[in-house]
Amino acid sequence: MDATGPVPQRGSVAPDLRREFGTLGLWWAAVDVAARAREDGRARLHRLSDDYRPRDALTTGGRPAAHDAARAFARQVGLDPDAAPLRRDLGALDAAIAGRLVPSGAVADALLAVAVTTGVSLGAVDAAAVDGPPRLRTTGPGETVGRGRRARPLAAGTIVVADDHRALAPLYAAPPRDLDPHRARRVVLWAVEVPDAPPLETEEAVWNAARFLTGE
Amino acid sequence: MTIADDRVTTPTTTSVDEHAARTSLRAQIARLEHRLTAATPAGQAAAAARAAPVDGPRVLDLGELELVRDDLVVRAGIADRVAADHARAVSDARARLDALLADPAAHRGAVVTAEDIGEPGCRRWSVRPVLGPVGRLAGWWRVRVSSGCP
Repeated sequence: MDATGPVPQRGSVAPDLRREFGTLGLWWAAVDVAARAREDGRARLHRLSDDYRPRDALTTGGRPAAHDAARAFARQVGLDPDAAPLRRDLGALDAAIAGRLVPSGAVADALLAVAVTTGVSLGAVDAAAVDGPPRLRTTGPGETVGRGRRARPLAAGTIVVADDHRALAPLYAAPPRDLDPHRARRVVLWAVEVPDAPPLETEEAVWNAARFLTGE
Repeated sequence: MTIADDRVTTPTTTSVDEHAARTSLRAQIARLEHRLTAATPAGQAAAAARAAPVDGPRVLDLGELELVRDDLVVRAGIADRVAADHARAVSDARARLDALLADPAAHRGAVVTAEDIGEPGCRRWSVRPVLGPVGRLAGWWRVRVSSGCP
């Protein structure tokens, strides 16, 4: 896909979703992962862990408004944020067990750091597998996510982040393994701007994650 | 002869009404979700034990949104009940603590912890005999406060 730099851009939202959800939006950025991003990410999570209390993060007082808005939106589209926690809650649950924020790779660490500080859940895939700008749409009959033997069928009408040709990941779900950005040198990041989310927060979250990965 | 297609392409009243109803239900769901996140952690955990009534992520129809809304009403009820039970237990423990401080001899062996009265920390108030067996035989009882976590 085209090099677009780390400046977040608005992704398109399918008309049926826009009609239904009004202010629903998508922000994305394509970024080159700096060689030292992994070390930077570890150090960032280490610093954040000093003041991080998983118990507080899971209670109302410690939850950013963007996270609460995302949980409400997840319910509105039939997801259960208690059964399948959003990235911020997942990070808090892992931290409660490990006693600190757990690093697991450059991209994952950047997404976790952003989720912890802003409450915005980001997705990411290997940019090499993406054709065209990401967009939000619903799937048609027979669509799958992932490739080859790992392809997983998606029910028609599933809300997905997709490129020009295929679904990249269902809303708030991790992308399939073949799009895993774990070792990618260039990744596409995105975050869904849900109704009632604080203005600018989603765009800024994508910008921050991009900045973390590029080492700026 | 020309046949004009005069079918109305704008949304019908029914679809407009349905859209408004879905919007209203989504607002109710958001309010209930916020109420749930404001519940105590124990209440949230109890409410989270229920299975979700629908599968997503997708645009839910009116009936499905009602199911989600009704499920959240039940979850919020569970969380409220757990919170009320907890508040009652804390109130009872505080009353027990006041009573044993006022009259230790009438509450021999009783123990109240900071957790019982809804406070952080590891403090324990326990009614113990003064001088061990001597106090036990003589009926000399006092409240010992142990503070600090091990």
